[in-house]
Amino acid sequence: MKKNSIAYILPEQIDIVTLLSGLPANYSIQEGGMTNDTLCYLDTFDWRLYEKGLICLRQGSGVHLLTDFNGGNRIQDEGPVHKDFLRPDCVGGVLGEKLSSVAGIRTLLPQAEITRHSQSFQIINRDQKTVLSGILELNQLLLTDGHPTDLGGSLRVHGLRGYGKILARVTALLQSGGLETGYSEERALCIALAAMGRKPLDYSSQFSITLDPAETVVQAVQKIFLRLFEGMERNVPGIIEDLDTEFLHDFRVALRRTRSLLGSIKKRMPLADVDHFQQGFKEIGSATGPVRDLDVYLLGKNGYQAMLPEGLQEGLAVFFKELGRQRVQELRRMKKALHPGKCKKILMGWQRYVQDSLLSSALAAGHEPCKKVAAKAIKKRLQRILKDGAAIGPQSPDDALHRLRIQAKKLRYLLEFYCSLFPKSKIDPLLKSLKRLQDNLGSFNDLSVQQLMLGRYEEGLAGGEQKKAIKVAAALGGLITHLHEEQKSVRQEFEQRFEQFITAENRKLFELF
Amino acid sequence: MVVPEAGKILLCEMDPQGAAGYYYRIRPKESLNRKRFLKGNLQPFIKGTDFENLDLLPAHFSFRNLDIALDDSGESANELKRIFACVRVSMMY
Repeated sequence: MKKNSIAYILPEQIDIVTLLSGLPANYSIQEGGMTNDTLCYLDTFDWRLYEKGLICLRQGSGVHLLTDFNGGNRIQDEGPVHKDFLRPDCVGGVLGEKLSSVAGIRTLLPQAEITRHSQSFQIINRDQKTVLSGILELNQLLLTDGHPTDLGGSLRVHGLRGYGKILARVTALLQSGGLETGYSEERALCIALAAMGRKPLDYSSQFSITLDPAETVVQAVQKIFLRLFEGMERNVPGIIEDLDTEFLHDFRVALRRTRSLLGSIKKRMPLADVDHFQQGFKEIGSATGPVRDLDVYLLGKNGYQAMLPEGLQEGLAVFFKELGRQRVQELRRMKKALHPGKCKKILMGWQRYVQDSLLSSALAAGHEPCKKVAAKAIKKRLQRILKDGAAIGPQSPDDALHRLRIQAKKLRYLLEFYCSLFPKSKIDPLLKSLKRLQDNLGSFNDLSVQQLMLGRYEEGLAGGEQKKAIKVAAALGGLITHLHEEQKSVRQEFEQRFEQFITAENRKLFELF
Repeated sequence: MVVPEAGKILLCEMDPQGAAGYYYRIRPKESLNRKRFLKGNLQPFIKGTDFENLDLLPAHFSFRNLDIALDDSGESANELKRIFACVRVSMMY
């Protein structure tokens, strides 16, 4: 905003003549034309722009505007007009670069759509000279039933150079009328969302929950299960619409967390119930796994391309084309399973069970204090990791690292579920340290799985068109070699990472449990 | 005409008849005079026109002998540079 511009908050619909009715007699108001714009606030499902203090607005004509919360640092450009989403990689120029750098692989979605009625005006002096200009904007939210809801708006006044006195008069007049400064697009967005019963940052892929140490373990896990269920449920529409790959990823993470937590309390619940839902979750995991696996490869396309020389790129392109084709088929299967299919039934049954039966059907051990149970579970998992990790040497099989990875993941989930029960100053460094170990184990596993998958694909090439098959096989062979080398280097790092995890400092933290 | 920064224009009216001021409906400040102009303290006297990025330093009746005053200094071009130096570093532009 310019130096001598002020933006006031208009809490309700009002006209400019009423607002400035106390102007001195030698000034008059000249009203300009009225315009009506449809504006759509766009952000990723997990509010990546908002988190970085950015607002993206799409005007009806397809012009996209990116600003900071106060309207500064404006980047404006035309983008593809699609009512339901905006993919940052489809927007060119500086705007596209900025959006991609913040949103990453996520698609921008409409968060709120408003109609903005704008009226420009000027204050003119006795010489008919404009001495102050301004614009009055009123926002309305269009609800699904078609009825507009007034959201208030803004009054922006812009003083002209050399005419400071009238700006001071108008400012005093507006302040005496109770208007406050500080209007921003961020404020307008929050008001629009509030009218829809929402608020910014109402979804995050990071798990966070506050538990009461006095509650029983079943009460605590009921809260956690419901939060995880909400996470899964909210991601389903994005998976069905295939808006971006993170919906499925977040869904599967919430599913894994649910399975892990259910496994950790299996002795506190009726075995038949645990088995029933574990089986159901396994089916959902299997139904959603193939698309996620393909997504991982497709998202890594640029990385794979960079691993190979020019001569092998053609074969790689054929391979990725085939993966894309497979994804279309797998997506169709997954959608069927998720939406009207069995997965939906399992999830609905799970929600009902957690809400209505979990507390009443818990065994006696389920009514122990949650902090005691959490500490015991974390301690047990930690001890196992320390024992298994210490037993891994340079000659240990890959499977040993794979098992340790699973243990570490389960520990991470436990720490995330129950972290509110322990001092943050102790949990945070432990989580950080665990993440570093997990990074190593995760990379080792990913490289192992990738080589296996590429090898299987290579074996299946024999029946295809021979010339093409040779090119693809050469590319995949090159990739496997590269991945194998990388895996060896990650493997060599393991001992060091594990040593870092079991330092004396961390061992003190382990005593917390 | 002085252009302090690309795209932003300051129109300086030196003719005491003030035709530009009349056209843009801008009256000079009463405190503006030749002495102040020659001192180079122009900022308080510049006014915005109705057109974006165009400001005006309106003429004053006391500018009527400005050409002679500048000639007397013997280096009128350098004098004008000095007078308008404040405009070039102005944050407003």
